[in-house]
Amino acid sequence: MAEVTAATIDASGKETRDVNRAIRQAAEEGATEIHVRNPAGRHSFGVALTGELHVVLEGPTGWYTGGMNGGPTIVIHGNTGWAVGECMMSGRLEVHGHAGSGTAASIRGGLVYVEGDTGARAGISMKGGALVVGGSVGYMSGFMMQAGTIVVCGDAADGLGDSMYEGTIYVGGEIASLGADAEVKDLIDEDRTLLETTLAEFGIDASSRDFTKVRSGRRLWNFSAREPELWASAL
Amino acid sequence: MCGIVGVFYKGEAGEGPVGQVLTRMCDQLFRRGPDSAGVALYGPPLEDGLVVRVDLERPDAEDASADVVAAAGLVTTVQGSGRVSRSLRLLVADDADGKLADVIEERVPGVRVFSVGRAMEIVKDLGMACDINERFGLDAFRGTHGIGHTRMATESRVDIAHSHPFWARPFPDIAVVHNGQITNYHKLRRRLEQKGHRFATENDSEAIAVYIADRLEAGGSLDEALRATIDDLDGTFAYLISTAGGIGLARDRFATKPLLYAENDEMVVLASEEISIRAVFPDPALVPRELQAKEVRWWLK
Repeated sequence: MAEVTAATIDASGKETRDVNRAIRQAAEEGATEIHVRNPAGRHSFGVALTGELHVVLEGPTGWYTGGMNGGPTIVIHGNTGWAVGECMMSGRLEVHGHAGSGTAASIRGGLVYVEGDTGARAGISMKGGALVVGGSVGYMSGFMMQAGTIVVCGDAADGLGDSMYEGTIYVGGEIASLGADAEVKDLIDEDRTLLETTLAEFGIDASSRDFTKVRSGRRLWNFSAREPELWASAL
Repeated sequence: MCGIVGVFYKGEAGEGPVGQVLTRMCDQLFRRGPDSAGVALYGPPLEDGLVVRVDLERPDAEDASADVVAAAGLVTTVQGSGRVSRSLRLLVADDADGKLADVIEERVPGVRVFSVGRAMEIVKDLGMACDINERFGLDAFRGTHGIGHTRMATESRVDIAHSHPFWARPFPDIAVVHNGQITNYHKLRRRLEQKGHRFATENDSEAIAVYIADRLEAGGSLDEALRATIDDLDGTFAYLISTAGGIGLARDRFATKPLLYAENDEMVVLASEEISIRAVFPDPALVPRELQAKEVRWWLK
C-alpha cells in the first residue's frame, strides 16, 4: 500500500481560491490525505481535483463542494449546501450530515453518499454514477435523470423522477407522488442484490426496508398527440 | 438572488443583540445581493405609543428632522425624537388611524416613513450591511427578534425605498424580506387595492407583507396566512414575515429559493445559506435544515 501522507489546511482567514490552491499544492507535494479545518459553510471547496486524493472537510460546507472532480474522495463532516458534487466524473463524495438542493447534479460517475436528508432535486440530470441517501429526498428528485442509480432509504417528496429518461431510483420509505412519466416497476433479485451490496458499505441493512423501484415509463421519449395530458403535466 | 436572514429569541424573557446578529449574517450573504441591505428589528414592545423610523433622504437632515416632528405633531403627540445619520426615530402617542406615515410624507417632501410599530424599527440603505450597521449604530440594538435582507434588484429600482424589509404599511409591526419574484404581483396588488390597501412602492415583495397583514387583520392566524400564500402567490419565493409576536416563513412549491433554519432551546436562526449562520453561531450543535417545497413554519412569543 502506498504511504499516506497527511496535510492540514486551515480555511479561516483564507480566500476560497487560496484554500483550493493549497489542496492542489499539497497533492502535488505528495500528500494523499488532506484535511481542511474550519470550512464554516463556505462555498466551492475541493473542486476540480483529479487523482487518488482523500480530502476531509472538517465541518459544514457551502455550495458546490467537491464539484467537477475526477477521482478523489471528498468527505464532509457536517452539512453541505446546494449542488454538492455537481458534475463529478468519478471518485467518491460522503456527506456526514444533510445536503441542500441539487445534490449530485449532473454527475457522470462515482458515488455520492449523504447520511442525512437532501433538499429538492437530488440527482437532477444524473448521467451516471450513484447517489445514496440515508435519509429522505426533497421535491422532484431524479428530475430528468439520464442514467445511474439513486437509492433513498427514507421518503421521497412530490414529483419523484419527473421526466426521467433512464436510470433507476429506489426508495425505502414513502413516495409522496411520482413525477410525469415515472413508473413503479417490480423489484427483481438483481435489484435486491444491488441494494444489499450498495447499502452494506454504509451499515444499512437493505432487507429492513421495503424498497420501491422507479424507472422511466418512456412515454416522453417521443412526442405523441394521443397523450396530451401527459405532455401537459411534463415541465 | 438576494439573501434573507432572521433571528428569534425564544421565551418570554428571550432577547439578544439583534442589530449586530442580523447585520453580520447579512454581510455573509453580500454576494447574493450587493445593492442594498436592511433590517427590521423588534425591541422591547412599548407599553404606550409607537416608535416610527423615518429616512431623511435629504442633505439638510437637521431641518428635515424638525419638519417631520412638526408634521407628526399635527396628527399625534410626539413624545421624543432622535436622529442618527439619515435615520430619524420618533416616539409618538398613536398613528392617527394609520394616517401618520402619509401625513409625514405629504408634508415633508423627500422623506420616507420606513416603519411604525410598538416594537418594530426598519433601517435600510444602499451598500453593505456592515456599513449600514456602523452608519446607524445598530450594534447597540437589543431585541426579541428581527429579519434582514441583502438585495440584488431584479424587479424594481435600486434605491433605498425599494430595499427590504418592506413594512406592511399602514399595519404596525409587520414586515417582510423576500428572495424571489412574485409573478402575479399586479393581479395581487390590484386585488388588495380594491380592498382599500395602498402601496408605497412598485416592489413585488411589498405585496406579500400587505397580503399577510390583510389576512391577520381579518382575524386569521399567522399559520393560515402563510399557508394561503403557497397557493395565492405565483412565482418563486422564500420569505420571512415578522410581526410583533415573532417570525413566520414559507417556501414556494418548486423550492426554487434556498432557506435554512436552525433551532435550539434558546433561539431560532434563519438564513439563505449556512455560511451566514456559521459566521455568527459556530456551535456545531446548532444544525441547520433546508426547508422543503411548500413548507411553512412560524415561531411566536
